[in-house]
Amino acid sequence: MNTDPAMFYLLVGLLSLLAFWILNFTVFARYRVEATRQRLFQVRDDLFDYAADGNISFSHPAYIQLRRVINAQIRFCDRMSLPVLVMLFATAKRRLPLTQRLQETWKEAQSDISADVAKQLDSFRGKAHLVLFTHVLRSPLAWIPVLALVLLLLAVAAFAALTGRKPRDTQRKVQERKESTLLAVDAAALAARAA
Amino acid sequence: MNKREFELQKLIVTEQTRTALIERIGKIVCEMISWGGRGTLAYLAYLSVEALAGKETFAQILVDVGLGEKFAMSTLVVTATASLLYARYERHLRKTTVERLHKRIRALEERLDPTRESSELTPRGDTNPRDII
Repeated sequence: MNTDPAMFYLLVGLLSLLAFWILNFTVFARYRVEATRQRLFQVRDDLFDYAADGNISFSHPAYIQLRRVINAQIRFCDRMSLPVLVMLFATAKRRLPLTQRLQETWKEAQSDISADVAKQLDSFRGKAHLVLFTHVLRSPLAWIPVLALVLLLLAVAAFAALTGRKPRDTQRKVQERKESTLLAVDAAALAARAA
Repeated sequence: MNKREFELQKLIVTEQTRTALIERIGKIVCEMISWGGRGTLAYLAYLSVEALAGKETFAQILVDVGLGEKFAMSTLVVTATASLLYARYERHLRKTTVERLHKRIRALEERLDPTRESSELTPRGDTNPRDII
């Protein structure tokens, strides 16, 4: 029998670490999905209220399209994780015809509404994307890469400041990829819904 | 459905296989990390039980590198804090949901019953501040 108290402390520490791990990857993970769905419900409710106030018809293609995308996001947000987002980001180019068509259909649906209404609908769409993005960032899996990314961005900024060079081209490329990935998220949700 | 929408639907259906594959890979990666962590920690805990029984195990090395009392206290504090935060977030989520649904239930019921009376709780379901004694 080992009477070293350090071994007993180690056992207690490991068991509480196990409890913390399960809390993070099971209990908190379920909470994240529920919270994300509630936030998306809120965005959908706001969209409904906006239409109910007479700003846009319930049968308007833009309203129907946006509601369909939000519904798909509500239904499949449990599948959205950091590895999925990274893979969507990495394969964004292959999905270009679909994302371009999605964007065109969205713009076309908005063609006969006023600029204010179109802006408001874009705002609802942006909010839904933000909710999904936050959902991914809240994952414990995301903490380490996010920290690494922040450090990398700081290093790039420091390098740019020291050398006097502006990484404009990189910024533009990242912006393009970001937009394409957000559309890919919509497309992925719609594809899962159509399955 | 016009021609453009039909083409969009066709592209979405074509995308299904790739999306499904990406989602499955993502799920496998997440599960591997989740269960891998659990398995490792459970195995280390098992080794420390064996060490307590008097057997020489890898757990002794963990003790030698300083994973003793401070490690136990800090993981206990972190787990307890995380549990409290979880309870706090759950409560906040429930109340926010109550508030969100309350507005709609009220508006819909008032259409059918304009003289509908309220329990006078707050929209988040808390005791009315005027009723607190």
